[in-house]
Amino acid sequence: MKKFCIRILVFILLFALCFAGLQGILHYRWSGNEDLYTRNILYSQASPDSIDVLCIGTSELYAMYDPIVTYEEAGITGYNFAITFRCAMTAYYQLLYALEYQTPSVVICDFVSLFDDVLPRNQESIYRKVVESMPDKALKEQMIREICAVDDTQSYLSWKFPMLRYHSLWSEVTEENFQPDHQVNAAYPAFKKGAMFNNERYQKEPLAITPDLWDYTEAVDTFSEFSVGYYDKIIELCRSKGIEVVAVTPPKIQDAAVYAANADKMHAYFEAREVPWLNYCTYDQVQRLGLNLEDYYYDRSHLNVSGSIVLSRALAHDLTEVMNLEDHRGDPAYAAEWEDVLPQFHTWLDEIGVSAS
Amino acid sequence: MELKSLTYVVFALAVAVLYYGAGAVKYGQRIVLLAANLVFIVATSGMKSLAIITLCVAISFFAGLCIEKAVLANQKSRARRLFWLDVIVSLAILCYFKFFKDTFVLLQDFLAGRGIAVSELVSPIGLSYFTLTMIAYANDIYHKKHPAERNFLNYFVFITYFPSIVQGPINLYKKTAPQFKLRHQPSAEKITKGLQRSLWGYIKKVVIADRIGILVMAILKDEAAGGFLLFWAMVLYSFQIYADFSGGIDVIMGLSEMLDISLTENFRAPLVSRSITEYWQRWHMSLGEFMEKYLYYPIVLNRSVMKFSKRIHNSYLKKVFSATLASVVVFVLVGIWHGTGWNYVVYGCYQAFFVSTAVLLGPWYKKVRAGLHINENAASWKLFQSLRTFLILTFGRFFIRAKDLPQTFSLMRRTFRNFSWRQIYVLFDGTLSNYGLDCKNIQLMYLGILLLIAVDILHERKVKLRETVCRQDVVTRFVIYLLAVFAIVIFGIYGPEFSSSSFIYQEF
Amino acid sequence: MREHILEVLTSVRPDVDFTRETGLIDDSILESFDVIQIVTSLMDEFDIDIDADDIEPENLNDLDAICALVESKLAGR
Repeated sequence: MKKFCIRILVFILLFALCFAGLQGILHYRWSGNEDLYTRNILYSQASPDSIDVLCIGTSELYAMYDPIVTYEEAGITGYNFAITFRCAMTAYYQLLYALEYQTPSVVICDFVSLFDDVLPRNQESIYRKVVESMPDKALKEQMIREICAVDDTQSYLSWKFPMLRYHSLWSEVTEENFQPDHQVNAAYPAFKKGAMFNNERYQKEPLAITPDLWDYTEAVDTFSEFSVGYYDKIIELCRSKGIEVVAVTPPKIQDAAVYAANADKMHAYFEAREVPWLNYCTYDQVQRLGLNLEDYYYDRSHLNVSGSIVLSRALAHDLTEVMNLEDHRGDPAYAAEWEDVLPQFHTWLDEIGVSAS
Repeated sequence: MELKSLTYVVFALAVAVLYYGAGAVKYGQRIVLLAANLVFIVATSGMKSLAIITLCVAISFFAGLCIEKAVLANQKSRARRLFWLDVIVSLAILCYFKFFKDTFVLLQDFLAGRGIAVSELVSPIGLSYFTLTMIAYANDIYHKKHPAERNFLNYFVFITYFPSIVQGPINLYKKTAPQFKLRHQPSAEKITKGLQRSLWGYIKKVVIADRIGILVMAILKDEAAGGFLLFWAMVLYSFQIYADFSGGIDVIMGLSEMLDISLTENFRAPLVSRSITEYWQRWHMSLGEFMEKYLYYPIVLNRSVMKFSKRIHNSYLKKVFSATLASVVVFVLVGIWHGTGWNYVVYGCYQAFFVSTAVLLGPWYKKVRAGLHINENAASWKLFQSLRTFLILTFGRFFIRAKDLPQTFSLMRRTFRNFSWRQIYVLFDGTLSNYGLDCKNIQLMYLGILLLIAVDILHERKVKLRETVCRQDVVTRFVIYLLAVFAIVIFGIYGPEFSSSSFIYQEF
Repeated sequence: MREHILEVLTSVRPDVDFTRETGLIDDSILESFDVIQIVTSLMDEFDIDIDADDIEPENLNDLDAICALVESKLAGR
């Protein structure tokens, strides 16, 4: 009987080992590898007090903002933390992480989830992406606990061992599942600073940008209590540290009508919180910047490299109008991480055939 | 506490550990079981349910004692009256909770409307099973098969034995109750075999049955689905029911084996049945045993029935009358036992029809077979019989799958109105992957069904699978066990991803 | 009495040699309603009560077993 009990214990041990091993392979993978972990790590390695602008938000902002271009244009440094999905809670946590290392002068955010809940139970992949890429363990645990508190279908156990919940994964296993999760991409260019830099060309049906794209019939969207809560937290957090918050809306042609419909509500929201709003998604702005889909976009929402250069330059000027930002060009403290990488950036632009003018 | 939950597994294992730990103490194991039964009932259907069950057990217990007293005192008529009173009360309880739930709700509303609050009707778990056990108990005491139980707690532990209270098997006092009075020593072999059986049961239930269930449910819900596709869904449903029910039974039997309490088997490779009669000797055997002992034979061997048979002039009908009558009664009741509604009555009659025609037309069938020169020992003929039986049963499932008779007919219309064997292509052109399972899951499902059939065939050939596994070296055994456990963890249908599906036979 | 019982048996199944066969139930020589017929006939002829529990292979497999069953029922009456 004793031998039997020992066998049972050994079996349980073996089972636990196998379970942990399998869990490492069969967990829910987020789609769209955008080097989030790499970005987090490289950001943490930047010199203290060297980031002026922090950018959080979703893919349109991720595509739009090139910190190296705003530096070149007006000496403003920055880092792009926007990710390919929209979510207010993950943005908040990304900000928490970012503020552990730097205290920027301004945080720009697209506030794109104002009208969408994007709850953990519906979009687990987004939350897992941000959680898994979070280098700070304490913050990671805090985030996990908050997600479990918000999502009643999730418990700490089921978060740590998603295999207990997701069983369809076995039919979707790919080679990616067998690669380690946390690797810093050694080939990540020093000039990228978190930006997307997507060099695809516009492939969709040609569309001329005309004022009627902003026509709408009804403003039906309502604020999401969940997201507004987190956006307010973001604003509060920044204010408490003396950081300015500026709302930036990229020129997302696909949703021009939606933005037009919601403009009043958004304006009211920003005004109430004294947040300046740089809205690039209007016909006038698009005209002013000389944008068209074929040259500056890779789809109807996201800017490509050329478009991002245009917008980043415009952003540099518009930001300095709204607030006092120092011009760090010529400052030796910023040379190593900013001035010196400019030639690399231009070489790369030449390689991909994009003109920087 | 659902059978298919981590809670149940932990609970069962904890009980097993405590059970053997308490072996040193006098009555220790009985106390552990009593506590386990109480906890299980309360956790599954609440305190009110426990109260009702205790009341039922008490009635049956005292009835048993009274009947025995009357029998021993040779007061035949008094004994008979007490016996029938107990039977009627048991049946009344069963019928009340089963069939008159809706009426009760109406009554409840009526009284509430007049300011009288009536507490909600609770349907105690296991009602359909233990009422039959109680009727059998009373019957056996009346016929002096065994003495009445003198200790209420002993009787309570027996009736409310938590592994079998959920979905059987229907335990008979004479065979099962004495085991609770013994002191059981832990045996590595029994525990291992029990665990193996439970593991296999969980695979059948969680991996196979529920996977089929997703597909079947989706096809049945689709109004546009019909013809061969719907027919195939019902074929799969047959496998689902089998995997679900027998899987649950395997879990329970494995658990009971671990506790060294042996219960009656409920299944004996029903998939290989070659006739409906044979099927009912292989499917839900504890119910069959009950019906045979306490309904079929009592009718057949009843003097009044025998007298009536004598008055039949036709010599052939005279022979088969009582058997046919008994079959019909038994199967109609079996149908009704499964659920309320005319579709269940029809289901019972449907089964009765095949069983009784097998009896009535037996000689003619023989002649036809001889005339067609069919070799009854040929494998092809046996296969044909099995397939034919399976088809007949599948058709019968239409009645059980639908909620009521109109739904049954609508289901049949959808299936047979545009039916064509040529539609078999829907199995191969990817149509099935529109119904909740992707390609890989469908393949896994078919693999599971083949496994189910294979194990049945092996059991039929008397291959003792569990012993074969036990005879392997420890590494091979561990690999098999780990694979089995991980099959459940990875391929199992559970968790928030899938809506919960409880055991089908638990609703009885 | 043995002859009496043999008579009853052969009236149900004239084709079976009950003096020889030893596996009437086990070898499926008797069908289920043969069994019922035999049991009801025995009940009638000897005015005994046979019930479901008695209908077991060991009580009905051969002529000797059947005789033993009838005798025990007569004794118990």
